[in-house]
Amino acid sequence: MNAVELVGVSKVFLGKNKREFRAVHQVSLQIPEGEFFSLLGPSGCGKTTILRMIAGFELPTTGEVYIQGEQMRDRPPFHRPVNTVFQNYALFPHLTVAENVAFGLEMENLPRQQIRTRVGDALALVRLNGLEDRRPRQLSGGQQQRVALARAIVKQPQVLLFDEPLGALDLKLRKEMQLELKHMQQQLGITFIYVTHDQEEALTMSDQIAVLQEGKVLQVGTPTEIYEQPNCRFVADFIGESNFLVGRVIEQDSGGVVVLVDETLPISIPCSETFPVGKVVTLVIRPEKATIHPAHYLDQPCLAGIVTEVVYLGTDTRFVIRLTPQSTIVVRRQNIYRSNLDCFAIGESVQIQMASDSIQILGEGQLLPSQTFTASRRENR
Amino acid sequence: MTHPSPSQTLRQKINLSILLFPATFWLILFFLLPLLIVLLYSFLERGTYGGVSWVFTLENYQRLINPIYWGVLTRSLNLAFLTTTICLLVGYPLAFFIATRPPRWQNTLLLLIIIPFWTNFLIRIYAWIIILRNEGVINTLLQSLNLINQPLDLLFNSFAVSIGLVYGYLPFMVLPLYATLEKFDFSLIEASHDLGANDLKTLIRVVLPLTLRGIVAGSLLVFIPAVGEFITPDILGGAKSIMIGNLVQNQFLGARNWPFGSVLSIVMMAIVLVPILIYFRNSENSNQF
Ligand SMILES: Nc1ncnc2c1ncn2[C@@H]1O[C@H](COP(=O)(O)OP(=O)(O)OP(=O)(O)O)[C@@H](O)[C@H]1O
Ligand SMILES: [Mg+2]
Repeated sequence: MNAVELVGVSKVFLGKNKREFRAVHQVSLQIPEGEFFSLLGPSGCGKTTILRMIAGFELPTTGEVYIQGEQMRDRPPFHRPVNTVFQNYALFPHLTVAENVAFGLEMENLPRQQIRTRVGDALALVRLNGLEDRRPRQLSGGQQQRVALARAIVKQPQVLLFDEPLGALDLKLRKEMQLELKHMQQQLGITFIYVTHDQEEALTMSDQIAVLQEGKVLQVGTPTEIYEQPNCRFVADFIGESNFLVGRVIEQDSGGVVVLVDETLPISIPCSETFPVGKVVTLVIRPEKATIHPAHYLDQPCLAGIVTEVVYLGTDTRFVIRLTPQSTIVVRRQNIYRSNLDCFAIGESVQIQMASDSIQILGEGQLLPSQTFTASRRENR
Repeated sequence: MTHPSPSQTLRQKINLSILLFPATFWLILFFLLPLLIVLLYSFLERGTYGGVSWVFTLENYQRLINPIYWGVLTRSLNLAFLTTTICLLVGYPLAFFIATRPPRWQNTLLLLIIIPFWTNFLIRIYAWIIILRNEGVINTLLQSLNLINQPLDLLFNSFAVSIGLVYGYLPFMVLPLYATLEKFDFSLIEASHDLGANDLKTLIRVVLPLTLRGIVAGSLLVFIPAVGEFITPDILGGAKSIMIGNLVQNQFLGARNWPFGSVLSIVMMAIVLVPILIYFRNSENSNQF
């Protein structure tokens, strides 16, 4: 059974002058039990709104939310088997750490003794023993975050909701907490629904990711699927770095297609999908999946161009190579050998080799002039 | 300049006292001095035509044994307590409502609360006579609806005084409550709901404790002046609903017994001092979170 299921959920807010604003549009998601599920998207794409509809703070304008197979429309937040870790933590400032954690259990009218043991266990789980009698304002940001986590976990809910819980922490602490959260989720077996706009965080922690844009779900899949086979340009661009080459299909057979980029550059790609000859498509190439060679190094047909930018990044070096007057491509090369660190200089002619099965073809795209625009924007990064 | 020399700190002290002088002077002249005069008068004999004659006596305090005065005092406290309670019960939801409106509405609503202040207090209290009297708005309405045969006695009793007091002091309750509620973090209500608390439990466990400061401040601002009120009971109350304020006024102006008037003032002040002390202790404690 799915822990949480959204069926055609939309949310329309009434803004000033009764103007309608669609924050969430026709979202359907199935979130299996025990899974770490992330909602990923840029600011304002409706992640928090979706989470609030699951928690019950907002009602969907249309569509239904199901938790453990039960419809939630008429259930107020305090009768839903979910708990939230809020972005600003929302700890009760007048209560101590222990009282904050005990709050939810007291609402269930559990016996005192049981509350005490469960609060103790929860605080031990988040490693906060010894701070029971502090007030939230006497804690560091990371400690407050742990109290918020303990307060939600102690209720032993079916589903835990997180709204960018690590957003306020510094990088190191954030990485630590990411691992800890992931570990805790596996240990407790609770379903986590995790909102973030940090693609790296989503990739490292999730079993499944839903990528959102302007209130719509673009793609749902495992981190590998999302990264290796993005289904649209937005996903490819939002998660990791991508090269986009727009071209027209000029040949099509059972094995694959040949795409002509910028009217001059034919690239052949094996693919199972069929694209009619003449269709405009976009090729997505990850920078680390292309290799750079000196000119005339390979005797098979391949991409060739001129190096226009070299940036040394430590673990790897990032090259920008101009293929045609309109198109550039970014290639990253791991710096394995010290001896050939600076073997490609600006202005040098190079060849680029790509494993053709690592190129993703998208049946979308527009030839010129947007193409030149994207190329130059990439260069500016 | 990093190490302030002793002379500098001395100069700073002098500067400070110069800056504070107007405030100190004002407090001494208009607060401390009158208070001492009242205290002094309470131990003197009354003069024949008002004023005092300079003979020390404790007689004025002995007069307090008379149960009539304790009756008036109890009534004053009861009425002030009732007024405070009603103001709180009406004012809290009102302040909560205002604080949860969009910001541009909040100012308008606050203005509506304050606007009556622009009219003279006496006139506003007299207006209640027109509403409450036998041929007044309420009685006429009820009679024309045939709900009552005889006009109800709404005026010149404790009921009318309480209405006048609640009406007069409600803004003093609403404004401090609004000030605390406006700073209240409403996401805590969601957190409380999320943890399984219904609306009532959320109110008792989260909202009320965190707005206690406003509740205490508003209650004091209503209770203290309400105990000493004399205009409202004078206009809306009958002979049986005089308050200690009327008694003081009467001793000074009517009976021309200044020393006994002073004694009553001091008793009143002592009683009012109790909630103030509680307030200060409370605000020290609540500084902790
Ligand atoms: N109560 C509301 N009234 C009107 N509009 C709202 C309301 N809540 C959210 N919105 C709008 O809905 C959109 C989605 O908001 P939401 O908070 O879900 O975004 P988000 O994805 O969580 O963004 P962020 O990453 O910045 O937190 C935003 O454009 C926001 O302005
Ligand atoms: Mg958000």
